[in-house]
Amino acid sequence: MDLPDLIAQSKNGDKDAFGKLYSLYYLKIYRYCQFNLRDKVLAQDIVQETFLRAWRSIGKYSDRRGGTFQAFLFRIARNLIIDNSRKKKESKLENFEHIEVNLDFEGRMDAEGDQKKMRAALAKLNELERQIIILRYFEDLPFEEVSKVVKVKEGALRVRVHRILEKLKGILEEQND
Amino acid sequence: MIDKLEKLKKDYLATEAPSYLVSNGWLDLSQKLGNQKGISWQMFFVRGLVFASVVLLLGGAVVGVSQAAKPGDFLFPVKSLSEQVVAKLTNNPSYAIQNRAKDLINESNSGSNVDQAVVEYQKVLQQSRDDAQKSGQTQQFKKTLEEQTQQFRDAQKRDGDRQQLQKVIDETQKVNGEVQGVRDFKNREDSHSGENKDSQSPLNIQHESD
Repeated sequence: MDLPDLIAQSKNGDKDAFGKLYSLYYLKIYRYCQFNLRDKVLAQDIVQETFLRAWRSIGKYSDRRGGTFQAFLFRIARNLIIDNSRKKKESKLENFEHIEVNLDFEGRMDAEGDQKKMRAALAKLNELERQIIILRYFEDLPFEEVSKVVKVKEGALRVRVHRILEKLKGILEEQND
Repeated sequence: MIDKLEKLKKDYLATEAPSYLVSNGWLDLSQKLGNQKGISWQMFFVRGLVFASVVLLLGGAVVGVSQAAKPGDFLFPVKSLSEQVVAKLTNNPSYAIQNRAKDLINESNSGSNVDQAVVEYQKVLQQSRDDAQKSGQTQQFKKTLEEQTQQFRDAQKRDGDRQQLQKVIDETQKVNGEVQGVRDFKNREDSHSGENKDSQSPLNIQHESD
């Protein structure tokens, strides 16, 4: 059974078909949540909540309007991450930013650790900018799908990506100084 | 910049799901999933209810506003239709024609749009006559027409459009003459359907007023 069939069956209330969709996407959604939240348990809970909400609203999902099914899932997950940040003022997302920035600030970060530097640089971006980079460069989503997840028009998104990369470059240069 | 992101991407993609999610994630989730069809029907019902409420509210507003419409106005057909519905629901075939007569007299007094008011009156006159005959309320209807004839005559005296009002008076009297009693109307219907073969049946001949 291919993806459109699984989606169609799920829309008709077929839990087994939805289970197959879960198997296909749960890891992608988990690592997206984990990278954003830096909390395994919370990321796990948000994965489950994402699929629960996807099941409840799958009737409204349309590939013409909402992009691909994975874009639909990423959009739900992103909204949940944002909700979580709003509910808990000391959200994990903010902690992540502070922790990374503090690490850098205190000079405890390994100078050769490009990954850590990049993490710290990502932490200095705002939430939308960070999601764009994660979805575009880590998840390899095409611009069209990223635009559906973050609700920014595709043309504007391309310009924005260019600016974010410039901004990241600037942050990394500052770190090296 | 992209190559630096690529390095972090490797780290990102190396993230593994916790064993709970791998082994029990779907099992736990599947127990929480409700009946999708049930939810769909609930959603459908709620949406239908909201849609019906909006339609009713908008419809009510349009009908309410249309009550101030005059013959020839954009909303006048809505007003006319709503009166016909009220006439049917209350079983009062005189209701619509009474309102058309009021409109006609008002338009005649103000001297505006009398022609359109006459046309609307004529339309409703024929319809009301048929309704009165079908519902057996011919006496009441004839009385209404007689009262209206008098009102038109009074309007004529008050600088109304004499020629148009005279035309309406003639038409009203003609229809009043055509209105038959219940028995006569039924006989006519029977005759048309071929059930009554009696050629002596009083079609259009015997009027209640005779």
